Amino acid sequence: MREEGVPMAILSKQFKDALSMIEPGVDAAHAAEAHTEVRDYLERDAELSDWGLHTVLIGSYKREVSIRRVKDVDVFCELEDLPEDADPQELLDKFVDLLTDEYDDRVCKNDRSVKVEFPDYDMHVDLVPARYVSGVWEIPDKDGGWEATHPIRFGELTTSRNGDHDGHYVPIVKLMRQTRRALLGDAKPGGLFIEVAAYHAFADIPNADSADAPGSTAEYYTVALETMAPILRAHAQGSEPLMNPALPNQQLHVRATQVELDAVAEAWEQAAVDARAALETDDEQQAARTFLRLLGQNSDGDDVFTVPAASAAATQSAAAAVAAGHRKLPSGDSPNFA
Amino acid sequence: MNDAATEFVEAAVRRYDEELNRAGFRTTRCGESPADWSWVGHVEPEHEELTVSLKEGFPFAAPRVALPARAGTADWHQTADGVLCLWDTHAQGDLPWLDAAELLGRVQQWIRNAADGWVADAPQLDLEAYNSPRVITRRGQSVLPILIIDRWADLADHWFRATMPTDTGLMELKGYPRRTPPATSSVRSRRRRRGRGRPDRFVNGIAVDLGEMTHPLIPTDDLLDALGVQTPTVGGLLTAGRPVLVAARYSRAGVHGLMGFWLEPQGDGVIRGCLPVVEREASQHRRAGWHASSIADRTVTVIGAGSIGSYVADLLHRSGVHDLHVHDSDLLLPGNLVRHAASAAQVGAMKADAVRDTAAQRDPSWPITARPRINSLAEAVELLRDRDLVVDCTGDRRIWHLMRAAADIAGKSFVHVAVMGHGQYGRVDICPPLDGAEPLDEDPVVGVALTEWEGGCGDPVSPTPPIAVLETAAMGARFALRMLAGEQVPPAGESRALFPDVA
Repeated sequence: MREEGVPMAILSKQFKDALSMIEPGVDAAHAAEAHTEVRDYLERDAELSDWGLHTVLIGSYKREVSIRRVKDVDVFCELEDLPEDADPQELLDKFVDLLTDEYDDRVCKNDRSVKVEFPDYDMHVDLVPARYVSGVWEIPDKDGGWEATHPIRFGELTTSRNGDHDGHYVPIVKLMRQTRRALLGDAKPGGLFIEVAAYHAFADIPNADSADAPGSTAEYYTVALETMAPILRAHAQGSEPLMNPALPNQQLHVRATQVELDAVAEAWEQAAVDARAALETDDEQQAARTFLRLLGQNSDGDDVFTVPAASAAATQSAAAAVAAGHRKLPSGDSPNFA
Repeated sequence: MNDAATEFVEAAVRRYDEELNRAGFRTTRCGESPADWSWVGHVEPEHEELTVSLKEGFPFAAPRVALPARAGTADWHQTADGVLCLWDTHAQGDLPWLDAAELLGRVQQWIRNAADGWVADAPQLDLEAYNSPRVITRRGQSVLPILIIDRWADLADHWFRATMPTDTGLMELKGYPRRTPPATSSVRSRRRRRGRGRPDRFVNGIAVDLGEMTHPLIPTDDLLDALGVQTPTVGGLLTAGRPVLVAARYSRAGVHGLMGFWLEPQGDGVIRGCLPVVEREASQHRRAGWHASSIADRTVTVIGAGSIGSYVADLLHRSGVHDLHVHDSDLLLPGNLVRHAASAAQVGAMKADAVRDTAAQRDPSWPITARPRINSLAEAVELLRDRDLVVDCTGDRRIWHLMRAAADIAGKSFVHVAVMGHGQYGRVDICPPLDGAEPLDEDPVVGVALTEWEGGCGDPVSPTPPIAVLETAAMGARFALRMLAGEQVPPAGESRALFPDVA
């Protein structure tokens, strides 16, 4: 990955700080409180208990790739002993009724899940009921039937990929999600789409065992953008749709228009070019400004990426005032007066 | 740290981060201060893992460079936790660690040298760096004790007693016991110690020669074995709960070094801490300058032990003049200390005695002889005839006339050292000039209003800056040194403008 003599704007601390700026922060505590409360409530219901209720966290929060702000927490409600003839919509209604007793109008039914709002935290908990059939978990689909899913598997794959890349995968996914937010705002597709694209892209990035593996966060960020760009373009063109990592034969559900898919592909292609130029410039100010533009502001309106000081002192230092063997003492090589 | 300094250091760290990443390292930690940063990489030929971490003081302080796989193995130029000593202090002057390629090359060179057994190593006598130091607490401060001896030869293979560390950690020889110390103290002395509740006033020590060192770390068992027939005695003292100081001499490449081991019983074992052992005389004489050997046997008289004279005499003593006489009959008063070489402890003494005693406190090897002031022409002539060099530092025109007349009679020049115009010029005059040369021109001194008076002084207090005194005295001592060593000097002397712009 590294070419001899090519400058690299590593900016390690700035990338570390950028990751801090998009960390969920207090949202993480709120999310933990919210999902624990709802799960405890569900687990006290006798009927759900008879159906073998076992709740597990899923989604970006569970995979630790969520960024500030965390808007939702997904809870997978395994009902291993649910009768085979149970109707998925009736099951969702059962959840709605039960939760309404506790949360009143904060409960809302979706196609596949039931949502409980926590307005004080500006957050909601999504509860996804699931049955176990022939060794596969199934959840309600939008057409009134059931569809197979394997949400826990994606978490396992995430952990594995993160290990393969010496812990770089998860932070880079966060930076990719932040980049989507910075470049495309609230437009679809959402963060999961970007995360899945990153997951597939990382399969083609040399891992930590390889001498060609990217070394720094800056390199990983750039290489990830470059590797994801053609994947996103292929998906937009329909030539190679993104697949669900947990279920290899299942295409990822993507709620986005063709215009939106083209936009994200184009944005990523340009971001990849810009990031590469920034990485290889010897002007760290210019590089930092590019990374700042690509990462934008967090939900608090603060710049995610910090541009280093361009003071005279910093310039003097960067201009090799301090370099090995650069300076000779005016007095020559004075002895040590031991 | 102020903002500019912080930004300078942060920029240097970013630059280093890039440099190391370009060289194949990976950043493992980063943060606000240099000490928050570290990297990991590999070094050939064995693709060994190498870690680099910064210390406060970067970029002007070398990073900690370690081969973690070597932690716990004792070798030269490496600490117990695998941190390498890559550059001696002098080699750090060019900040070589800032060049990642040079850093890697240096580590590879270190690995090669280690594999070869450091055969080309200079005889670095720094065994203390490899053995844990003894640290004590005095007045709430951590102090590193140091044992000062005059000469190893006085000590070798003997039992000795050393004072307990002072507040600064200083330990000195207290004497030599007439017989091997008993493992346990006598009933009488135990009773005396218990009765008065006094701490030990000395520690028993044994001096041992460890010979050529092949390994930097000296295990305690090896140390005890090296004590030979004294091992049981040392063991007995330790068993009896008494500490023992082992002063050891060792060799590297035939050059001797010294270090001490403080052994102290603790529980069922013995703890030990190392301390420097320094030969005062030899270590001072090594620093006397390159003229020392050629002037050691020369005889010098300094007339006047005031401001200039005290420093001229002090410098000549430091430089290795063994036979040095100083003539003065004035008393040293507190005000003199500002422009005088004597220590404050000498206030109230004759200035000549003060110069002698201050020098003796530093190095008693060749004491200065204090004499009264010169009063007669006969004395002056005798001095010029008997001594290799006479330096007049009185600044007194009457004495100068006396010495000038004596020089004509003796047919020998003397050196006159003086500050002119209360610090405007410093002069060294060779009187008369050598080889028939013309005397130096007078300096264009301007008048200075003297406004400071002091009780006990008939003359006003001179406003001469202390700097002018030291600079002029250094000129005079330099002339004296070169003349004693037979080197060529300007035949009439030298005049230097010091503070010529005085209004």
